[in-house]
Amino acid sequence: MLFNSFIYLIFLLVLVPLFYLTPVRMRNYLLLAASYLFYSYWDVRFCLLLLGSSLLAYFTGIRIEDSKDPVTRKRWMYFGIGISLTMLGFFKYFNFFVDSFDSMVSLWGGSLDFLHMRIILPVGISFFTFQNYSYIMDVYRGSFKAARNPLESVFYNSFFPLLMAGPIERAANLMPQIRKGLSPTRDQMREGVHLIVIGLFQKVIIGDASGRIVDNIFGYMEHYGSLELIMGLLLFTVHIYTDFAGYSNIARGSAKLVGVDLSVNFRQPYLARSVNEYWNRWHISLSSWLKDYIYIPLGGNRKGKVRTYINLFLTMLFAGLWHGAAWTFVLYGALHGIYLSVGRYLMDRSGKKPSRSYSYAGPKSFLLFLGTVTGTYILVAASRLLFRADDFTQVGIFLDRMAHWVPSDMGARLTTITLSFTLMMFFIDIIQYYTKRDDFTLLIRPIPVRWGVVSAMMLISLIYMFVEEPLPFVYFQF
Amino acid sequence: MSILRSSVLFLLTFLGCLLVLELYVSSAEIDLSYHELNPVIGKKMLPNKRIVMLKEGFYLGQTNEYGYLGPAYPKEKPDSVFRIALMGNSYAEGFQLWEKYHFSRILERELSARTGKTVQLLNFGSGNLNFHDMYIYYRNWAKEFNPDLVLYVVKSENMKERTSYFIPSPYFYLDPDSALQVNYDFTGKSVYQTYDRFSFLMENSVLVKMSQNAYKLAQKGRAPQILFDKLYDSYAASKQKKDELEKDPEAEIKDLKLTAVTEAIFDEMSAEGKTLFVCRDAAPAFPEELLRARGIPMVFVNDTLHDLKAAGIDPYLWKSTGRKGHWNYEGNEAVGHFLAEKLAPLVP
Repeated sequence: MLFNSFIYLIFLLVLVPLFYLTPVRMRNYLLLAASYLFYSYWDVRFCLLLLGSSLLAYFTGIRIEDSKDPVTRKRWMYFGIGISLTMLGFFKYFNFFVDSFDSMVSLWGGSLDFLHMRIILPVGISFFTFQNYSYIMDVYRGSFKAARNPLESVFYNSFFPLLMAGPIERAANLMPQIRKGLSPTRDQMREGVHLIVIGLFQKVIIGDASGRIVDNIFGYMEHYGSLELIMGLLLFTVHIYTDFAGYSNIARGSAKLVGVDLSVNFRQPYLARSVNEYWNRWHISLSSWLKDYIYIPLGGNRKGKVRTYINLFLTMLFAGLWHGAAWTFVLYGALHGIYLSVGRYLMDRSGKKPSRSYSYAGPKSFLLFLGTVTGTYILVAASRLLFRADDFTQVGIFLDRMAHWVPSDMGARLTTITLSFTLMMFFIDIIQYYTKRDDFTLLIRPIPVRWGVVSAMMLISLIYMFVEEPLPFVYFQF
Repeated sequence: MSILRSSVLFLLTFLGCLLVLELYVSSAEIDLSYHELNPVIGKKMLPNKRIVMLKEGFYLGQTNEYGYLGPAYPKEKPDSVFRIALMGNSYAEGFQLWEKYHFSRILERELSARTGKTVQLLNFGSGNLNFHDMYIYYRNWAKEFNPDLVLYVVKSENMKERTSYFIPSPYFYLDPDSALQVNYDFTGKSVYQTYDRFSFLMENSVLVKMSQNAYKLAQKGRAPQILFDKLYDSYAASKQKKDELEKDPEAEIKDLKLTAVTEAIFDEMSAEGKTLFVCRDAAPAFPEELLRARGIPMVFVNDTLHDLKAAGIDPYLWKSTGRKGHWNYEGNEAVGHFLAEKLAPLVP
């Protein structure tokens, strides 16, 4: 069930009133049933996998907490995490490693092709596996008390708004809300509706519309000129952000309607002044997960400058592989590892730590802000080639077109199109940046004006959804 | 705040926002409006209009100053030029790939190179036309451009007479003397009158066009499928969607019965002697006998497409969307080369 489909809106329209008619103590059960219905709509077979994964975390958490012996606690932790990662490894990476080894073996005339399996990747497995991982680790570290009620654990792992593509929630944020009993406030309801409208607009009217062009350009790269390919890449930069940020806003909005506050996943990443800042603003739930469970255990910045750079690089290499089972993603991670290490080196050398966000301090500072934001945007957009390309052949075609410029028939027109999508994306971002609210439409006064804006945004999204088939979220494949 | 003031404020903001969104949707070319309802030929592309289409593939182009596709060749034709008018539906229109990859442009380039003569191809293709519509297009419009050869890209199913018109159009009938006449009654119908009254909005507003498309889908009975997705368990709806996605574009129409009107059109074509049929399906289904009896030549593109299939390339598969549909890049290239080879002897 895609968020950008009518069936999801109908699902919400049925669920939310039902939720309010249900007594508070029973609401968690209702939401759990709705979550499994939501997941089974995609493929009922994988509900067992989801349930198994949740129960594994539940039992492991209790075992860890109840064990007094540190060695036993560690064993249970390895057991829980090991099984979770093995499942993820099997579904997501088995064929990738078989293919990679097969390529090596083929150099000596051998073949491992017989090991290749037809595996369907369960939607959201990377996300719920990482949630399990963080839960087990947090219980092991003693920073979170294990859930004693299996309902809490299963709910935490399968709550429908975050099931498909996050945010990767920490138990410390979600479980206390579940335990307390869900009873949304009027503010939450209002915020929820506005987040859904804005998210749907971002996803459908910017994301899907630009994504259709991107898919065609990358599907037939050999038929496009150099400028058209550059525009295709810049459009993908718009597409992936509005697609994922739109999804996250709909997820947060849907959760608010049932009284749950999910983590903010994006803070206008394309207004970042460095790649380091970008990663503090992009897919925040993943970035913070990587920091807590990969970067810090590797030693973080506690083992000297050189180790800090290496740790940053290794963390991003892992992040690349998490995104997809392909060498292009590994290289994407490596490139961002280099970006972060170089950025950290420059920061160490200058001795200045940048502020968390920009505030106007004269035209000079504004020009510097514009320059650094543009530079960061170009670096990030360039790395997207490795993210979007299906394989290195496509990367090769793109680079060849850059080295040997091929004139474009429609370059100017595609540039205008790209500019329009980019400006609309930044228009929303800039408002969110300065209001510090994703649901910025709530600030519009008087109320009839607010509803005029929201109704127009919703109407155009609905018309587009009706006439075009919904485009799946890019991050579903992860 | 009074209810009246609130309502006015709401309405003004709502309309203002729609206007801003109209500008955005139009400049980002999420969709574009480019059709008019012409009183002489029905649905027709407007001159000098940008067009974008993202269905199976990606088309970005525009109509020329005369309202057809391709370079703008004026009505007067120099003697040294050999001019071809291309009539057809979505296959001729080619809104799946950029124009330079469409078979019509390949044909024009290759025919000029092969014959050493200036060959001009004027593409009058337009989606959803049936054979009668194509001939009305020719008689009432394309003929003014003085073509030496008129190509009709058709399939048997295009020969069927329309029983209903979602978009009102003129149609052929036989008068008591069995002469072919065109009925223009549609201009008196309410749909045309409404169009005429709001033509500025309909020809220029993208949001109006998107709403019209939504209305058309609803009229076709697609709303329950779109709204309820998998839950809509109507066998017919799922079958229809499946058929659309997976239909074999070469499937033949059995028991094709041609009307007297169609035969009258064939007679006119025969008398003019400029027509050539480019048939998209295999010989038995197409009214080959009727055409041969009237001396109207035909070429069948099937063999060349089958050769592609035999080489492991599906000429109907669009890998970017995974859909089957119109000829893809390879299909258009094959058809373009094939037609250039077949048509070269016809260029004096």
